[in-house]
Amino acid sequence: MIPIPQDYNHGHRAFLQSFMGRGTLSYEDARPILAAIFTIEENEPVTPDQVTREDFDSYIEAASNAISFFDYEIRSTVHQVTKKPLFVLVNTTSDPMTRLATTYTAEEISFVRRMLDAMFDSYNTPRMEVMSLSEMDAIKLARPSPRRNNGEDVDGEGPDGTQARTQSTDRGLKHSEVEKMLAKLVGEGWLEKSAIGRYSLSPRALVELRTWLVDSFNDPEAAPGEWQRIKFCEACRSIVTHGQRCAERDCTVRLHDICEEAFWRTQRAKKCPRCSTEWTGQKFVGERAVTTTEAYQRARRNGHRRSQRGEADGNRDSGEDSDGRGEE
Amino acid sequence: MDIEASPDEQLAKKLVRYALACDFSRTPIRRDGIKERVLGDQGRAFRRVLDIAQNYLRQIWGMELRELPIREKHTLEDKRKAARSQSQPKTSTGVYILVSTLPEAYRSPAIIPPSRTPSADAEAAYVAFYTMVITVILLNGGELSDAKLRRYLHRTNAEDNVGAEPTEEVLKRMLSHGYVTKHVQRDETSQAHDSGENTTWYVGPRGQEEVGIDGAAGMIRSVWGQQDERGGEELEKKIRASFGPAVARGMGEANGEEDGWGGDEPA
Repeated sequence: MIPIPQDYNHGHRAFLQSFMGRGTLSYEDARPILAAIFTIEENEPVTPDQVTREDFDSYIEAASNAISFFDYEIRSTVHQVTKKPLFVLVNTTSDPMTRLATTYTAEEISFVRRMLDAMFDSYNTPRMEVMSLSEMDAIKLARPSPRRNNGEDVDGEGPDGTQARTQSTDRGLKHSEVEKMLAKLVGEGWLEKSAIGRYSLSPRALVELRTWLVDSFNDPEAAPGEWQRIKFCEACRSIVTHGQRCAERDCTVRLHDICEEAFWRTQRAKKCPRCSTEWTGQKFVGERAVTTTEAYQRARRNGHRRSQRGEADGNRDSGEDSDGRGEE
Repeated sequence: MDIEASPDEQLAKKLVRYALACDFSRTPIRRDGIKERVLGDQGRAFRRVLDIAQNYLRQIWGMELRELPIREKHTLEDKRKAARSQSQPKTSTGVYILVSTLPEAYRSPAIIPPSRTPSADAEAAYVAFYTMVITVILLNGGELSDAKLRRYLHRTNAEDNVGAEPTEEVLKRMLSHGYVTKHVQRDETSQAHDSGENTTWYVGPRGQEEVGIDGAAGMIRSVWGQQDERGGEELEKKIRASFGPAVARGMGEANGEEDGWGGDEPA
């Protein structure tokens, strides 16, 4: 018989149910929940600010112990940008893709797959580690690419023949469905949308997908120091999808913005610990790899002017036209 | 943690994981599914394993698997057919859902939020909508014609959309999740018309378990809002009268021990 903790009570059970419903939990999220639980237990009102860090830690530990036999685990992580600490309830044996399969259709799953491939393959090259997608990028992935057949590129073959075979089952998503899907993935906490509207993996997804990402995108036979698609922070050792990179293009040292300060304090000079290149802090991983380029800045300046003109045009003639065409 | 688990306990662990995964998407947990996905060639161990799994679920999650009731025979025709047929009436459905075993106080939304799938808002809207539909069905004696349902939807401004979704889609989902069932009467006169004419809506098995009369009564109380003592009594009386004997029959067992549902109220 598996041991059930002695003082494990209804409060712990309710806390666990709550955690499972959310998937992630921070101290701030948990305080009102624990306050509600303590209010019931003590039969007098307990406010969220009376809940202490120790209370929270003890509930997390109790839940963690109770579910470990069932191959669930509670892992702690830190948001790469906001530095907010977060606990994630992880299913350690099932593949996240099969987990998604319970609520999503086969077409939606294969779209997610294409999105991950785009994030970590197409938009993640030694020159530009963008690791995020704009909505337009995502819409381009709405349908399975005709060039791909069972994951292998078959460039030589005529597109028509392959297309008929690979697309007979997977007809992809409509553009409107892609938009809905993105919103759903953000709502469920798998994706995050940045201030400039780019989508990247959330802390929860990074924790749950960590092993899967490494297995799918990294080459296990690569030499040490060789460029790999998934790289880890020099300081905290978790995946970097938003951070800084060494100014030397072939060097693989990456660092989170939030880990930077503490890291340089331990170093003698602000130089790359591997290749000793001066660390500029101006070379980026993530969306800033795009937004700091000269081309992007120029396009943005021009784009502003153009979009203003576009709006004026739109007022004169119908303007609906361009929207409608994108849909089918 | 080092845990020596017996083979039955290992199977119970798999069953718990299977149940949690199914419940996540409101997929009914079927006995056949359990046999196929969990037990494999240990099919005979079902009862034993289920008992252990129930214990785990209650002790650790505060939940349990509850078997859904068999579908009621709504129409005269169905009842006649059942009476005519030689086979033994089925006594169990073999379909389970996960329900909470925590005391009422622990189930408040302050502790248990609406699930994030597909999003907290959409989920909250869905829960609210099916609770409302189930409540009006129950208030109408446990069955509701399609025309009447449409009238209610019209009145609540839900005839076209619920939240961001088309109403038809939501109703379809409610049918597939088992919150409601519908019966379409076919005869010569109706074939010419649109099928809507003779459709009747009932509360489905999941609806009875998850919402039931208690849920419906709760819905009514919150719609009527805070009452003073006299008003509160009056309202409770009305609620009891509204759910009437026809409905109470189906749900009677669930509320048998609840005080106040009995008959010691002055008429």
